[in-house]
Amino acid sequence: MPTIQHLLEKCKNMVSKPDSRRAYLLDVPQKYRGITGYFSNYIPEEIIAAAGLYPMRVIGFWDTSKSPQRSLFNPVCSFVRDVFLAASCGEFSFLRNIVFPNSCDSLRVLRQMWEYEIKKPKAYTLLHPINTDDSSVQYFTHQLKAFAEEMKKESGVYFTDAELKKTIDKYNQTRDLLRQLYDIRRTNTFLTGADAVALMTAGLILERDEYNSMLRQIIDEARQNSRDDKNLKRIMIMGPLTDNYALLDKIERFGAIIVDDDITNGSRYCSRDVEMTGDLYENIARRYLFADPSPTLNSSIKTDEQAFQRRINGLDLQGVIYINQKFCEPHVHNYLAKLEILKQSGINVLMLEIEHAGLDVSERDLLRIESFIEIAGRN
Amino acid sequence: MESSKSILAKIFAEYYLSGTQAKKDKQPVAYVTAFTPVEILRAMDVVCMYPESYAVVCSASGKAKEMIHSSRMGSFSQDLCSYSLIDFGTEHFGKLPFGGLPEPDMLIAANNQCLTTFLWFKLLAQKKNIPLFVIDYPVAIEDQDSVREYIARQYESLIDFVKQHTGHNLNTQKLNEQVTYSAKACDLWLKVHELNKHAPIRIDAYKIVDALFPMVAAKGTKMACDYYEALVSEHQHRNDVSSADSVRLLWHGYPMWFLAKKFPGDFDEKFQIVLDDYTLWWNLDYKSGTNDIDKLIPAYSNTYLNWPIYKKIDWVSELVKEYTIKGVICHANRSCRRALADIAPLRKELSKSGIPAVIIESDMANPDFYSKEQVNLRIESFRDTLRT
Repeated sequence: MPTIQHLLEKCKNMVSKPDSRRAYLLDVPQKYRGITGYFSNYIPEEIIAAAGLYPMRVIGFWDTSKSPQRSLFNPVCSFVRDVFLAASCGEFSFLRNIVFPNSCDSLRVLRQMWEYEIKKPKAYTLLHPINTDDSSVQYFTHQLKAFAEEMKKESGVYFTDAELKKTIDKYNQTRDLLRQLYDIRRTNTFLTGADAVALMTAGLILERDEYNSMLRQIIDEARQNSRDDKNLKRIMIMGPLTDNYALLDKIERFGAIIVDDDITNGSRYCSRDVEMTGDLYENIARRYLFADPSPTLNSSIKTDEQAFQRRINGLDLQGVIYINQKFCEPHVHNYLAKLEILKQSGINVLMLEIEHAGLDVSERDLLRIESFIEIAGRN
Repeated sequence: MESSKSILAKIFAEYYLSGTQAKKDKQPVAYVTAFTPVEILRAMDVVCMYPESYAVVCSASGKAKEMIHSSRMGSFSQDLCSYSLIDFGTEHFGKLPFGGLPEPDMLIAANNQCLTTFLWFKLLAQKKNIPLFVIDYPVAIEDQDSVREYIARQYESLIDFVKQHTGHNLNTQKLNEQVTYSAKACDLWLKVHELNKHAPIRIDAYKIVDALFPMVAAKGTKMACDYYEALVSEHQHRNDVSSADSVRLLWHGYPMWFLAKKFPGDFDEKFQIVLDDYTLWWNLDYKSGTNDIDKLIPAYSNTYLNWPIYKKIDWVSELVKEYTIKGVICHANRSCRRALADIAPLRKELSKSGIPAVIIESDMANPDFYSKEQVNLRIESFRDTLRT
């Protein structure tokens, strides 16, 4: 059995090193009919996997050294610009297809540029709703069924509901295990926050059975080796896709521990399961529309505020670091919306705007982080 | 016939007074985004106010810079939509043009132009603690029945939402009147543009931009139709705007509201902008659909900014042919991410068909992103290209 260090190293490499990731993906088991890339938490991996395709979330850090220097205009967020450059360099040529969400304007720009300029692999758009009422559930259910048909045609695997159920079960297991990990991290500092985020992010790439078994081993060891370092400042991170291990590691080296998050590749990814009885597609629609919402979703403002308030109340936080990608508009608005709640709760907030591809954190930001952590929790 | 100038003044006054009067009469006021189906709201006696249009007024009156500063958005003021920043600035700004917009009782946003308007209105709803309704237009409708049904159900929910918050019912006769006038105004709006379809140019393109206001704020009214009829009638026989052999240019995208003539560059008789395609984005198609509500589904789904990329390129390319355009100036407006998607592809496609295009990076409302010298230099070198 691999050691925890070995597993975490694998996760970190998967997230931060394009070569390691590519090597792993090129070795994806032959039982799959190809790799389907996708963006956002609103693309159901369950359906892709049921069709015999290997779902791979597009995260950052690709090799753009062969860049043809084509780029998108500046107000488009840095993540999207990085992906466009990587796609222009052929970094996604090993994918069978790619699925776009109906999400923020930056991703819509990328979708259009994909159609015009990148062209391969073939792109789909899953037109999920931004509203969360009954008619949105009905509409999304219809879209999911159409999406399943597309994936079936793509792979030639015409899966049944019983087969879909098995796949849903696997993904429910992942979500359940990740939630257990969150519970542990609230009181147990066995895992650093940076390692935990690397572990969660790697799950967006790793083969599902391997990943679930990895999570079980880490959870077991964390429970058996519980630690509670009270000298560390308790920090929560918020933001969009946050896959910059180096940044999170640096935050914690200043004497902090990231005990929770509200990030795309974190708690929002694993909240709520898909129900297993009734219409499975409607259940998937409900799970995705009623899980902890992304700022691009029109969820109930009051319910969200109350849920967020309850969550931070139970964490004994000493500070929140909002890590936004430059020009990510939904998260600027989310930050502004949540700032008031955090201020009213007496929690200090640091906003960091980073270039997504920037593995190096600027000296200025490091100084800001250091002084923020130093004063965190003093008032 | 009453002059277009006089009708426009009335429309302007009526719009801004209607907001103030509504508050006095306790009539519900909604803030709406530019492509909200206001026909439904007006048929339920809701007074609709457009913060985006107000941001245009603020920018045109030279207040944008100070108002954006007043928005207290710090470094975000470099990143967000300048319309929203101007709107956030109104909260802390002293003397507002026309006294500002009345406080809204509800907010209605649509995502058929961008996600920004939804994010902006959601934040407003939270700050002001007022109800928000969002109309989701996932995509321009082609043959997608499920999308059409989804939007139809949202319209039903919108009617319920307004009824719940105002007690007002939908007046179907009023709705019919609204939709009929909206459709007629679109036909007339197209005629205004077509004044410049062939040489000589009958109306300055910036004057067409100035004439956009009724298409937005007086949608569904007879007065808007009267205005465009008068405008066409006043200009259709003019031939003193340019020389017959001027080089005809198309401005692609948002105008620059803070400039007196809305477009940069010192254009003379030899080089003239004959059309800004942005103003045609308001030319919605109300003709498909079996009833009035049904007509509002494709009309508001098939907005320019909701189109797929090739449809946008084809549409602009068609305008280039129809209006015998010799060169295109593309405005890469940093406020509007969604509008940026087509800039580079359009330039490439136009170039394939022998139409040169130049890209100017600036902003629709924030003069901080406008460098007169750089822009003029670029336009001058573009004119050199056209001369050769």
